[in-house]
Amino acid sequence: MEALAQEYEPRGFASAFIYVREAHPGEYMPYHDSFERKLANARRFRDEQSVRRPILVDTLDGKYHRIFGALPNMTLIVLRGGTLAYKGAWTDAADVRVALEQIANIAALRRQGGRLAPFWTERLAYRVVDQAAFNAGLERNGPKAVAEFMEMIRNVGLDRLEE
Amino acid sequence: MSDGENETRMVDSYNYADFTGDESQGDFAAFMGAPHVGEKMPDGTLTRLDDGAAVALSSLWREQHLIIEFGSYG
Repeated sequence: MEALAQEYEPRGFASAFIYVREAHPGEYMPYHDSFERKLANARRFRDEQSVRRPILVDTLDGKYHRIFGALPNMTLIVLRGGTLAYKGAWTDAADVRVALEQIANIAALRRQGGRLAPFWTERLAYRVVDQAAFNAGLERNGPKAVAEFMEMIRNVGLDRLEE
Repeated sequence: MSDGENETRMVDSYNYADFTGDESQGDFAAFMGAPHVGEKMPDGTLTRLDDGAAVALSSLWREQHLIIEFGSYG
């Protein structure tokens, strides 16, 4: 998503990363018991992952995050002026790219005299799961985060997650 | 219950210490509700990490389109 942000910035897209609660808190990545803790975790994320997008930290009680159901890694695209154009329950750069490319081309097509009318669609998208990277993240958070995720998998089954 | 106690409970349940994967830790039904695509985005005020400034999200989509990713490190 960092690369995508840089690539589409010259084409009229700003980017922001909204920092929310820790999805898998652990010994080394504690849950937020204060706003200062939330800021500290966000700084670690910025510095260790070299995040260049502006990071905006939500309130301690997740006021903005909860508007959208507080899922851990959503992506939205908002058109200039404030209309919501893309709403992804999960972040997948390849899927976001398809939407960005279409939006970026709207103005050009209209300049060429094309008549474009918006319509609403709903689509089930699929992403490639990078289990190794996910597991590395859990381990970075601490043994507690690993154990809790394994417990959840035991309860619901991995197949269920991939339906 | 006082407003202060309500607020504390909300902060604690939102910032869970133990991941279980239950719906309070990500409410898909709420995600599927409003606002939908084609509708106006709700505005919100968030804290910019680099300088601590209070930023209205609407100021970011006034001149440009805006890509928003929600997430955390842990």
